[in-house]
Amino acid sequence: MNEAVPPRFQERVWQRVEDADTPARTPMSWFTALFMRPAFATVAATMLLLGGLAIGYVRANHDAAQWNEQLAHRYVASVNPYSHGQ
Amino acid sequence: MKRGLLIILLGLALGVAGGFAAYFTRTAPQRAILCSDAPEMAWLKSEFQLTDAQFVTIQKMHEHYLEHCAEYCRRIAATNELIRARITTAGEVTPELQQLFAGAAELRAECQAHMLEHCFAVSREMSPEQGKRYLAWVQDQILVMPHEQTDSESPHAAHGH
Repeated sequence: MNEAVPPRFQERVWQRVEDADTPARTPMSWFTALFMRPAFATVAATMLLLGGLAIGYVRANHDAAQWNEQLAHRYVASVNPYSHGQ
Repeated sequence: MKRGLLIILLGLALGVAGGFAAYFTRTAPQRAILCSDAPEMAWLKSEFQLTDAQFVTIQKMHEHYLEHCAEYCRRIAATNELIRARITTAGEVTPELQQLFAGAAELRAECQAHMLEHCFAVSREMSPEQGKRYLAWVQDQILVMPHEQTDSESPHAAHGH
């Protein structure tokens, strides 16, 4: 009963209690925490904005080219009676 | 933590809005053409940079051409119908069928000459540079052989009559 406790016993006990209270850091939570920082979030938001603009522009170019081709064929079909048979 | 999330959500919203804005801005000319009364003519105006005066003249020429074209279409349809009927009953290449084929070829030549005449007239109304470009484009489109054209290129838009 009178045995002496190891040195810094109390400090180590409290450290273990604290560790038990803190949830383990998974890669996902680390990633989330990183992007929740305003500086990283600003970079991510800028990338999202640029990505959205790029996707919209590429898709529009594709559709515009397709519509142009259809309109050109319509013009040819309007002047060429044989265009149906070709 | 909340501030970071807000910034990301704002970026996402701006990205989506920016994407739509870029799409609608870039496709605005084509959508305007497609919504016009005669999209193929509106396309011609845009593609060959016609002035309003040139466009009015060419549009009148086109309408006039379509009147003659309707007559050709009627004759082509009648000839094809006759050939089809004879093929069904003949069972072999008869002199009458040969004559009908010769007539169809003659009609095609006549129609193509008329079409080319119209294209030359249209090109003369354009600026010299655009007229040259129009003629080069139109001969690629009109003089293409049937087997050179793929299914995806085949125009199924109505000829108009």
